[in-house]
Amino acid sequence: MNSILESLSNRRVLITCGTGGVGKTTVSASLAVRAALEGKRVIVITIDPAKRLATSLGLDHLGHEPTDLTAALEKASGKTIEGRLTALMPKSRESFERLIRSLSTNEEVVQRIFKNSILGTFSQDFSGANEYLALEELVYFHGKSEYDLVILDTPPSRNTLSFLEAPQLLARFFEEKMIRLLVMPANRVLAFGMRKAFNILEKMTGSGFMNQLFDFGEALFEVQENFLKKLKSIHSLLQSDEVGFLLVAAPTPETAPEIGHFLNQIHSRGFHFDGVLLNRSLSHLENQTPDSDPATDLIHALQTRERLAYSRLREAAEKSAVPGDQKLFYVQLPELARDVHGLEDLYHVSTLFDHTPRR
Amino acid sequence: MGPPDLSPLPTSTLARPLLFVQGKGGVGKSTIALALAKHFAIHQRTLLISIEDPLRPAHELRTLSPNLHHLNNDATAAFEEYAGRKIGAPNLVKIFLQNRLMRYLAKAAPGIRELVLIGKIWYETRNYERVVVDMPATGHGLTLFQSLFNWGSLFAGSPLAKDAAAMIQSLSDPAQVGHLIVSLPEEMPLVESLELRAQVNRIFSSAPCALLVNRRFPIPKDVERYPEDRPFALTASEHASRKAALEKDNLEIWKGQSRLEIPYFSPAPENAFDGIAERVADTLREQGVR
Repeated sequence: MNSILESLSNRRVLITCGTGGVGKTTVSASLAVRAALEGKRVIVITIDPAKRLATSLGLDHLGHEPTDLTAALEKASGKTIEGRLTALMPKSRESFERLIRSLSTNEEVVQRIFKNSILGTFSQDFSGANEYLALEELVYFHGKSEYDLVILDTPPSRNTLSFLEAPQLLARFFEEKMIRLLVMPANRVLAFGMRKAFNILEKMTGSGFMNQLFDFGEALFEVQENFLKKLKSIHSLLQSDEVGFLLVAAPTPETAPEIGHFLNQIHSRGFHFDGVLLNRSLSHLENQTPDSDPATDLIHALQTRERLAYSRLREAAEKSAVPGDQKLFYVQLPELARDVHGLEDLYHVSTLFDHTPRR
Repeated sequence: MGPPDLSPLPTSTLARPLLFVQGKGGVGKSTIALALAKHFAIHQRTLLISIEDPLRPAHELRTLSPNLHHLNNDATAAFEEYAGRKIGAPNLVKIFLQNRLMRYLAKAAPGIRELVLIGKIWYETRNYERVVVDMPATGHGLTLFQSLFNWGSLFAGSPLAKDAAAMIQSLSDPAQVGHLIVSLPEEMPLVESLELRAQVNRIFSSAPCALLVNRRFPIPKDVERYPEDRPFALTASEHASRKAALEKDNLEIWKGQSRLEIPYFSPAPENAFDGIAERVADTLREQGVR
């Protein structure tokens, strides 16, 4: 059994990272399919404004509630499923409301937050708040006993771990007591500089916005203790050995620095690294055509790059600060000669995790 | 004389002074944007804008050729620049920007980052004849446009709201702004591109949107068949044959849509981007891009 399959059987949470366009969503869904085939009750969560998971699962629309795909997978794979396959594409507004309700039982505070127009703007789709909500969903479903495994497909970005930055910045907001600066105007004990800065902000943004901002501050002040507790528990969960991080990447030389950076980040944060999935590999294709053809020539060129990628990958891993890590494991996922757009295709991909790299 | 062709040609969309290059992650937006910028810069003063590219220094403005500049748009720097312009008096600017809470808002508040990033793009259009924006992947790209509407209403009646309204007005001008939606010849990107076009048109109702399919796989000389139920090919020629057939099927999704096409140029082993932008620019010229 390789490291990826070990993770599937031992971890309670798997977080798949990677830059956009590498097939992260497809790989995450295939991992979930594999886990369900091996008897796990699994939920795969994608926070993705482009609604890709829905398409790759052959569903037009995933709702805010988990959708059960077990029966559909049985049909697609022709196998009896001992486990359970569910998928979720959270809607910003609903995740946000659940987050707020988990922070306060005081209905007055909850309603005040919901009515605040700044927060209303944040919680809409496409407002930039998705990163804040990805971890909220993770913790919520991890806490539910009906799932053995939660797979989180992280929001697409150029920086693999940037989805962690937003919650960290938010934590700073509370930890450095900046929240007090927003609550203080009511108490009128403001330093000169602060008063000046607020005056300038008001001139630019208008008094309506400032009232909303202070209202926002006061409402958040009410829940800050619970919020900080929550952020701390998220952090210790991510560091625990229940959680493994996977990187999905393209088998190209350009990937190597990204992998090195990722390993360093994972290590410095005290997380557990479970392996690299090199997606859409062409190394399994035999080359038997002696005469030149533009299509097979291109495949040759891509295979040459892929070979170079593996040696670069090993170099990057050796240089990165993961002392004595035996888990620098990678799995090649051969590119299918078909589009991956339904459970049947995901089932095919899920059978490829056993593939061991050629050296 | 035949009937007039009512479908807007991609080349006329690409003639707009401000061009947003959009599409899902990994489809080649940066290469296409660079190729277009290089092409425009032959005759016009051109700015290529990236959005927080982690591979370049933040807020870097560099000169690629006498007529071509590249800006790595950074939210924190854009916030400071905007605040500086709005406030005017240097001592007030200093008080404002050194304030802990304001620094925090510039870095972390969702939506503000997007607002200042799009604001910076808008501001730069007055300094160049052509501006090409290499947009973040689909969802994040739309967030940039959406922020104008969100904050415009939050800041009602204020100078910021006026700026947001002015930006919405100029970004909605079909004579000034075009959108190029880049896709790969694969099912999901092709479907998502049409969705993206609909979303762009929901935000800016008459925005001209051109379609481009990137990295079309070459068609092999001999087409080999193999059993459909085998999910992957065993040989390079099998794979190539299957790929050609798949792409042909997939492009039916864009049936009847005018589009530009870029072939899959064989990448150099060490650096896939070596010389590719020049080849893309040549191909675009052959397809009538002026």
